[in-house]
Amino acid sequence: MKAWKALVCAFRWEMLLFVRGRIGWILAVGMLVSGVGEGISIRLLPIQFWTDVSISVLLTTLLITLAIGEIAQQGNEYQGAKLIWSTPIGTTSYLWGKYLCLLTIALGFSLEQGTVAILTDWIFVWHWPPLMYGHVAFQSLGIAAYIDLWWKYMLWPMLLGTSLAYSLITILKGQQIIVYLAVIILWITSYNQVLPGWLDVLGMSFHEKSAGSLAVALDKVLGPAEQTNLILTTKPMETAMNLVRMNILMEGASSGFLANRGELLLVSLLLVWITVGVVGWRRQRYV
Amino acid sequence: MIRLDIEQVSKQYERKRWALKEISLSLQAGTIGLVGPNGAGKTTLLMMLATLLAPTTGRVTWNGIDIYKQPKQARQVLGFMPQKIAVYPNLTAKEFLHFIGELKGLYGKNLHKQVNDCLEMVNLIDDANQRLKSFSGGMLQRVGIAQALLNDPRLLLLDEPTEGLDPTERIHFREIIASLQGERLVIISTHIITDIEAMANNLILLQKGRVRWEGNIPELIAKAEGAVWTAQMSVEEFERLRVTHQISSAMKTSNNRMEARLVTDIQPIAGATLVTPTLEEAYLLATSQRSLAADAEVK
Repeated sequence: MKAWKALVCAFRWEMLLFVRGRIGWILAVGMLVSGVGEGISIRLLPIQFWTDVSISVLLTTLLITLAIGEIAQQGNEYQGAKLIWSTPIGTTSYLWGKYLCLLTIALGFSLEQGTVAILTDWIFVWHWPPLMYGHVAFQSLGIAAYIDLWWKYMLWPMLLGTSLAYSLITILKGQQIIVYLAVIILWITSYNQVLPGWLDVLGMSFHEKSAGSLAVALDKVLGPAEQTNLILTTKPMETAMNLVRMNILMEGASSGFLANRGELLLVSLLLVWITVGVVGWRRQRYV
Repeated sequence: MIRLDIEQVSKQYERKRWALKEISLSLQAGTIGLVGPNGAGKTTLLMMLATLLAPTTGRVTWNGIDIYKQPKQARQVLGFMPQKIAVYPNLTAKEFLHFIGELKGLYGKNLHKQVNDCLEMVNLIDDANQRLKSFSGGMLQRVGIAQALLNDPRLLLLDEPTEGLDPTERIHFREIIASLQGERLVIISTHIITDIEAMANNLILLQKGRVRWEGNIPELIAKAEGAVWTAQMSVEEFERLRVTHQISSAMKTSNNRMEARLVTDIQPIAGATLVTPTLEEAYLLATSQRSLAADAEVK
């Protein structure tokens, strides 16, 4: 069998199994809630912008990573290995096909979250001002800012999370508790910024400085009432949104940040490569 | 011409437990029953032939090709049904077979045809679009057989295929095996002797990891000639004999006595008469006679 056909076969069937399962629906609802929450909180409390983004990235990527572990587990759960490995399919093609499917699922859901956040931000301005938030008639943060946030902060933890969950579940033959504990510990310590920069999965330690300067700038623009979401007046809020927008777009340019993201990509690929190696070795040595 | 050679194959698991010890067999096309008590090594042997386990020592060749050095070639001619068939409950039978078919390298019209043919063969065509989670144990076993047959395998390995089937399903399964066309080697592992009698031409008897007997079924039955007795006795006598003799069947008679068939080389009780042995009794004799010697050998 040609390698690419085997890869497509593994991808398609893994996707069908996922579509038929329940976890997709749960995850879709979770991403909807997360997206709406992010859109509203950024809009209402721009002074807490980076806190909101950090929480959103933490919850979204953690939830998706754990779900990926659950999806990857399906093969072990139904003990399909004996059937699969007694066929002539190539180990590399099959495992890469499965991984790419899981990655597609992970990125798809993180995109759903981002899209919902953009729509929330947009609808919040457009449809409801006269009824509920007439005093919040200022420009939305805009699609570009959300896309920028997505590729800088969502994409890379998603990549690593998918590889990590997939690799550990496969290599440890479905030891879910160990895998989930490892992921949760890594994510929480990264969120609390107790890890060195090169281990910062969420990348939140890299915008600490600019987050501080943004807070100072916003403090000058917004009065105490606007900062606590009591009265949001148009003019200062538009200025605040512009400040946030500029802050986002400026973020992620440091060499440390780029090195961290590149490292996450390399580690992700390495994990899949190791998984292919281990399973291939087991299959060849019949362990 | 099909030929499977198992040469001096042994398999050692952890803690130095030998699952198989120096097995040597030369098999050709036909249906072979692999029998033996629990823990005899049947599943280990089938897993090895399915290229899922490697022997600790020895080698296995398929038409001269070492199946562990060139496993891909072996897997292309292989159909394997594991002891507990693994299915994805949210797929339909048809989808599941398409999945396995693609893993076996089948595509397009050929795959579609093979899936339909196999579904028809196992009498599941009307349930093809039902999800597997709604299937009974017997139906799942049939799905297991269908997936093993998808690539029209020359080497078909079935591990406990009739486990959990009701009598009707078991008979249907036998019909499926009997209806297989073409030259192939079918190895059926089971501890249900009547299945073997109905399906296999030849028999391999494994015990404690060793081949205890190999040959055709009438030969094994012939070996038990003069060793199966029937007798009527009191309940007390029956209880006493149960401890010392192998009893193959027993039933209470209308006069509150016991009528039993006993497997033993010497007359067990006055008045006992010799009867023609069944395969099950021949199997009992073969495994019991050698068990002590086998124990000593393995130790």
